[in-house]
Amino acid sequence: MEDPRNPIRKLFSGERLGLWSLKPVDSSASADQQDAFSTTKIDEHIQKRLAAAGLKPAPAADRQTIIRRLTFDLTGLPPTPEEVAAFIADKTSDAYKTLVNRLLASPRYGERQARLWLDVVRYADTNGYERDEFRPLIWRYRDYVERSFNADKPFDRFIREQLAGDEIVNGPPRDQDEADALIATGYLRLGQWDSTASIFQEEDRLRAEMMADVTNNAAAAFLGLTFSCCQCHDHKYDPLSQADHYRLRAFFAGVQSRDDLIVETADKLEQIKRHNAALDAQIDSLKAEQSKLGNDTEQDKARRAELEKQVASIAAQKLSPLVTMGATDAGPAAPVTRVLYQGVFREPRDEVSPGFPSVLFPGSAAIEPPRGNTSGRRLALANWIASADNPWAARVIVNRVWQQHFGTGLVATPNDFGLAGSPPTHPQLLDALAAAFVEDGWSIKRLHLAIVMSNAYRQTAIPSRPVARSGDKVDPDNKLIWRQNIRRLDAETLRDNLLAVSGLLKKYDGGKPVWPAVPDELLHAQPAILEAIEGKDGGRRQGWYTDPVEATDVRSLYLIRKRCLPIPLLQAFDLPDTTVSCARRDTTVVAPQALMLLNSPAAVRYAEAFADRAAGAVKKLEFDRAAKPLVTSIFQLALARDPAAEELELSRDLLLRHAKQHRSAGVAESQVERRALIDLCRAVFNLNEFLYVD
Amino acid sequence: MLQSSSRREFFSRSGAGFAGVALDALLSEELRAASSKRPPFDPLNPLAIRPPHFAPKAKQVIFLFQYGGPSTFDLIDYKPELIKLDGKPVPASFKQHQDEVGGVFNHCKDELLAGPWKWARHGESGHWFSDLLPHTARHADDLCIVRSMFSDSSNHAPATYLMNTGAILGGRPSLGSWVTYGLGSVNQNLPGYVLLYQVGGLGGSANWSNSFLPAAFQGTQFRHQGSPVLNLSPPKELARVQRSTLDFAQALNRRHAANRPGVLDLEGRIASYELAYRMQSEALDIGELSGETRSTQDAYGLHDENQAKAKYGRMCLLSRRLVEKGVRFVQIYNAVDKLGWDGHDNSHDYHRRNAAQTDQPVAALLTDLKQRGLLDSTLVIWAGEFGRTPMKQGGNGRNHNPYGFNIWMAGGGVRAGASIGATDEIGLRAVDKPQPVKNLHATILSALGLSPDDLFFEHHGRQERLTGVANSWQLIPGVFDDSIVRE
Repeated sequence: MEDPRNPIRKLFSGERLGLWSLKPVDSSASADQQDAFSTTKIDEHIQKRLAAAGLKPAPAADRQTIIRRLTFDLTGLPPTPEEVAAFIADKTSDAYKTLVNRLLASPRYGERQARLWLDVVRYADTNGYERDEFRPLIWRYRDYVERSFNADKPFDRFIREQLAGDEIVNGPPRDQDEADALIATGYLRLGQWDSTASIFQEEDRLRAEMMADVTNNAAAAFLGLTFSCCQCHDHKYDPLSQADHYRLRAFFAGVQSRDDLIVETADKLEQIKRHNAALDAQIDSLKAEQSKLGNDTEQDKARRAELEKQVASIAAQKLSPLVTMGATDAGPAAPVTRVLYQGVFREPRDEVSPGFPSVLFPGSAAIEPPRGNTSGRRLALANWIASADNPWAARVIVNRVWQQHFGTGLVATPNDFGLAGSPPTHPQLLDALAAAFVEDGWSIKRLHLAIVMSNAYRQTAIPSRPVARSGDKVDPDNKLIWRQNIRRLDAETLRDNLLAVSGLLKKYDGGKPVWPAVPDELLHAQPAILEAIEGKDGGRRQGWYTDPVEATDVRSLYLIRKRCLPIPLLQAFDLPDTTVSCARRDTTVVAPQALMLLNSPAAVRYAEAFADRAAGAVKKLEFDRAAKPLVTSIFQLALARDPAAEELELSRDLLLRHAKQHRSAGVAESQVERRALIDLCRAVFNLNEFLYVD
Repeated sequence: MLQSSSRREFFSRSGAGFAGVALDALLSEELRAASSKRPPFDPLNPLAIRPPHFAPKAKQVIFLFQYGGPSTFDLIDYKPELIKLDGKPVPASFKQHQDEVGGVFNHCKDELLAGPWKWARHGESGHWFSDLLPHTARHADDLCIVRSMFSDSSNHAPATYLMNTGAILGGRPSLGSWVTYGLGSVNQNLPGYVLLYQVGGLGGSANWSNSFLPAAFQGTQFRHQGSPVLNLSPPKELARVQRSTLDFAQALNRRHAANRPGVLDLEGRIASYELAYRMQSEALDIGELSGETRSTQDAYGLHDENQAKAKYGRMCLLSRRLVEKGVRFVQIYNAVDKLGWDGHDNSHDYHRRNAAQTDQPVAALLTDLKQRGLLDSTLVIWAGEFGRTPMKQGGNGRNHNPYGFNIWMAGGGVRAGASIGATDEIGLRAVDKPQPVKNLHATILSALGLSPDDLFFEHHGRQERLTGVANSWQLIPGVFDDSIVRE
């Protein structure tokens, strides 16, 4: 940037070149620390700013509150009453750390982290557009993401695999790690795809859109830069020229879509080959016998038919190797990339070569193909991103993880580290975390640990009135973090919470997405789905393939994400669009949400299951005697706490009144109490407290 | 209504004061501060009425979306030259343009195809109509026809996205979302943006998505049979305790909120349950068509033996009732089966069928709105995603044609009886005053008193608009009597 010959200095001046995120990460703060991740250091940074503003941090939240908060934050699920009780009873000095480590080791952790990452990369199971066909293999990428987080795969490797797994792995994968690197290239396929474009000779448009899309997503996801803003002209705010967009795009020029990428390990592939060869040998000998048979006798005919049957049955035993939806490279020479005038694909202008944002890196990128059959462009990009050579990648991921624990990042706009985004509230803390993260080997789990062990994280969200008053006066948006933030569950976590609390939640080990029932009329929203229902989609799988209801009670991560038909319950609670990266969920409040949680068949079913589960806690549903244990059980399951006296009274009152009402409405006597209990459970699912975390 | 301070905030946030100033010049602390603020809507009352940027001509919108791509020169655009050249090869002069969007010529025969329709002029305007639309023809003098629209894609989903969201990519807020975001809605007990369809458009819910706008501005489907809104009422055994169950939850919610002062969402959620409760009765009421007189029902074709017409008629009648109740934006998808106007093999049959289903209800809607004094303030739009080729495809079919097609508007201050622009003599290509879809959107927003460049939303560090980059659009000339003054 200091180089006066850098043409960017002519294009952009003054403040633009002073953009905070262009400055190198200040690693001095972490260098002298013994422990790269110091929780104490985090609190020092927060404390320093609070003191300067004359504020004090809020006291620590109580154990009931903190276990609910932490369990949702790390696993996306509520704690069970047993877990709450055990944590409260744990008198050892590191009870909290034990809890954190238990949650980080839980497989549910990877499911939660995967959901958050899939938002960033706009994951969906279908193509979008007119036909919106099912992508039968892309779930392998989803499971890869989950595996990677659970294994705490170093994040730099995670970056490299997604951008260039095919360039890292040479030939068939030797082991599961290499297979995963290939599966990771599913990342390059996550954008929309209009399969009808070819019918109308719009392939060029489609390819141009795909290239723009993958460029914009990579820039947003890994670098926090808004490259979509410099596609048609120079960036209006940040020092990014239009050429920069195409320089970045050029790294992707060689991307070849592959739906047949073999992800079987070499040994397994060898086994399959041997297995199939043995079967082929059998088939050959049967065929040899067949060729010797005549055509005349009945005996010959019968034998022929018998042999054909045997051949078919042996052929059916053949194995085919696992394949995935991913990408490889066009070859050593990538197609030319040109700047498109006003972003229009029909208006190509000057040729560009791959390069990083020229404000910091004015020259072309140095690219060394790893071998002869691939350009090495994406590998060069991946290596540069997954390093400390750029000022963005580490800051961006550290900020995403911070947001996960506070609701707002240190940079409130995680996908925009530019001038139109929010500047960091705690720049030194952001840098200290980013530097330590890199130094520590890009471990996401240890980053979580450092953050959630901090006092800042463990503060109460509801400080006493005097503390709240002074805090609100000085810092109403809580930018300085003088308390925790009350947060709403996102759509998937809400649904998972409903399933977990009602006892319906089933374990699912990944694999094909699960299709819950949706109202018929929503299927009719799309002519393409109707076409499939009528069997006229030519096997393109444009339809909706409802699974049996019991099979659908799995975590929302595994539900089908169909671009043109979001699942209504999730959509009502701000499910993001799957065409662009989502850095942070909206939390709007609208009336249809209330209708959904009160009246939808799914919500009613959850309430019934919850009631039956709670009823299991007592011998007999006699409300005058059993109300207390029932209500206590319901509150513990749904809210991780005991009911207050007043709540107990209100609940008992509801149970008695409703039982009476149901009885007088003619409900069968054996069902009267159950119905009243369902009413209570339904009400609890509609509590703000069920949906919000302190 | 908003208080004056919040109104001021709206104007500064929505940038009314910024118009005409180069965005580059705004790169300042001020802009940064503005972009980090939340959008100017009250979470406790997201549909609260917001004042427009300037005096509006229309207050509400009914968009009659014609899915599939109607062949407008078979309906409202008389092309004697095409009739003359029926069965002949396409004259060379029409082929000199490059097939930019793609797929128009090479999927058609080199043979022109005229419809077997009888054409006549109607009303003082003298608008031509084929005998496919006898009812709409009686409203000739209400229609302002734009004859020179063009689209950017010849493919259903992208072109449908373009017409409904302003972008061929999908994933952007729809026109109805932008309008309700800009103006709020009169009736707080109903959604501000309502959709009616039996079969929606290709591309599905992305056509009525709020995308990055707040969820309150999402299109909500009103069903034309049964309970009008999905999940509006609980099952029977829960219905009798609905209020009591709600009261319990609200009591605990208030207790919970009282311990957490200043968390607006908690208050908002309490309010949303009351709104949902009120919506139950109000929406049920809207869906109750039996209160309409028999003659009104007949006018819309509700008892017609053509079931498809009766269904479409119900949707048209519902849209009037919704507008009457103060819903801001109503959109009807025409198709009652998945085929719409999309007649590749037999365009004539498709047009006979669709015209028979929609003509009478559409005309009844215009008549009804007029009689009730609602047409002046309601902008009615009739438009598909593109038109069709004058060249033959398949047996008697026509292919998609993005290069030239007609749309019409009525009411809402548009110049009744006007005819704007033209396609060439065979209806292939817009030649006089060609209009991109963006201009139609700008014109619709302007009719509602919204300045297209000033209606924006901060998203991912960018000021997003329906009409894209500032100053990249023009109003369709001649739609309004006087030109709307822009700030």
